[in-house]
Amino acid sequence: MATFRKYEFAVYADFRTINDSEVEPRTVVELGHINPANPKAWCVDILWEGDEPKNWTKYQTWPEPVGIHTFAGWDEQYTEDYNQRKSL
Amino acid sequence: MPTPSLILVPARFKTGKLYTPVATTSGGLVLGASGDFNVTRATTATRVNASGLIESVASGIPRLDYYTSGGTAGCPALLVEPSGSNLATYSEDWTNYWNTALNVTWSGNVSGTTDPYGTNVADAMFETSATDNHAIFADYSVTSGTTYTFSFFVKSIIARNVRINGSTNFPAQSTDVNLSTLAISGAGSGTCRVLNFGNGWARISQTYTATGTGNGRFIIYSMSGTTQSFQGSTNNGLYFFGAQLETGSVATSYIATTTASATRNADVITLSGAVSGCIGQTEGTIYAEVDIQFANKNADIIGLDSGSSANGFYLVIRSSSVIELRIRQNSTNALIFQRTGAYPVGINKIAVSYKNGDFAISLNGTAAQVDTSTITMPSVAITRASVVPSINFTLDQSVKVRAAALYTTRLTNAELAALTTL
Repeated sequence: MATFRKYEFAVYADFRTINDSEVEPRTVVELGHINPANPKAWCVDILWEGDEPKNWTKYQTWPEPVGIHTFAGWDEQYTEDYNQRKSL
Repeated sequence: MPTPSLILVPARFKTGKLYTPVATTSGGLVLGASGDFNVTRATTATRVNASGLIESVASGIPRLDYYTSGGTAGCPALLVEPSGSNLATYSEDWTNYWNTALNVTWSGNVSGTTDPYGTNVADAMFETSATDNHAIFADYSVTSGTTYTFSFFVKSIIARNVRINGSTNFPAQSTDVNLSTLAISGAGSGTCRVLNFGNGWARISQTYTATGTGNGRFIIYSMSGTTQSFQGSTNNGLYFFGAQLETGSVATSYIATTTASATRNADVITLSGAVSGCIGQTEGTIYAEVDIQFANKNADIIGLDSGSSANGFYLVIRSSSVIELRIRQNSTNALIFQRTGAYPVGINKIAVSYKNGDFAISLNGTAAQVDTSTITMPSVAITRASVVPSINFTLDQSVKVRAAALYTTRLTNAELAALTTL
């Protein structure tokens, strides 16, 4: 089961460091500097083929579904995860 | 004619699998499930179904696409595409995103025609009676120097044609499409493509390279014949559906969007392990029937390799419009044998044979062309078969494979010609 997550890194280099050493299969879409409140932040959407590796969790960001980008067919899963997280 | 060791005909499938009707090793062992191709694509995607309509296909399902250039459904082909993103939001809500308009009115989700889904989500743009241009505009964020392809589905409402214009941050080029004949003209026609989707619908794609960074503008005009400014009629105009903006120079299969841009993952179709017995290790033949969309793009069509690009045999189409047999050995190109003469756009039957000192390529029944080079052949087991892999070349177009087969022998030149006869 794939997992759709959104990430925000303080700077682009932080993303490169963790992404370059990652071996789990995934599709990465780099959205770039899209956060006007934090213009240096580098935003990325990833569709993991399986579960998200734990060392990525701290970079998660949760915009209202589904932000500015999605993976075809995964809106529902993201929205469910968003709502679940919001209810905690 | 020898019997193929493996046949791929896109017909039977389930999630994650594309069944092969024949998979027999050179030793005579009939492979069961281990002879079926694995299909990976972690997102939904669309295809043209047997009724000629666009429909969504769940993740992991191979896409059997029935589109034919005539606008009616034909034989299915396995559609293989790279990942792609539709940057155009509200792709089916033109009244929302294309509401900057000149002398037109919108009517959403009309019942006057069925859309390419076969439903009623197309939007209608009607002219006002003003004597002027009748046009709509949309701006998309673009980056200078990046090539974009904008595509959309359009249908005439009573004898109208369409003009597409680039504007701010795109070249100010016009392309006209006659919606009756689908003829293309104008300064931008060299990078315009029109596909007939039947029932009066055409999918028009226009490629531009952004000349600046910021909002890139597209303008679409309703045209009376070839006239841009005219007295409109409130009964006339254009139906619209399916806006799509992609990076790159081709429009790939339609990706629906709402509030966000959306990404379709690449199709990965591969088989490894037991299939090694179906692959000629020292000699063999690769056959493919392919619907080639572009004459100027590279694509690996069938790859037989060791699990990486280090060693293997590849049937390749090249941007120079030629067919190529490429053999890799120890991470180098041991052979690049290109057939003299261009392949035509459309359906092609191609066979390449390999045997050291006796290589051959045959296209569409023509006499096989032969290369007698002596090379160092792959010295490790060839254990993987892939359909349209991005191995030697990154895939940047849609490829449709109607059939493929492997033989564990180098077929004779006469057999190659017979096999590829259209």
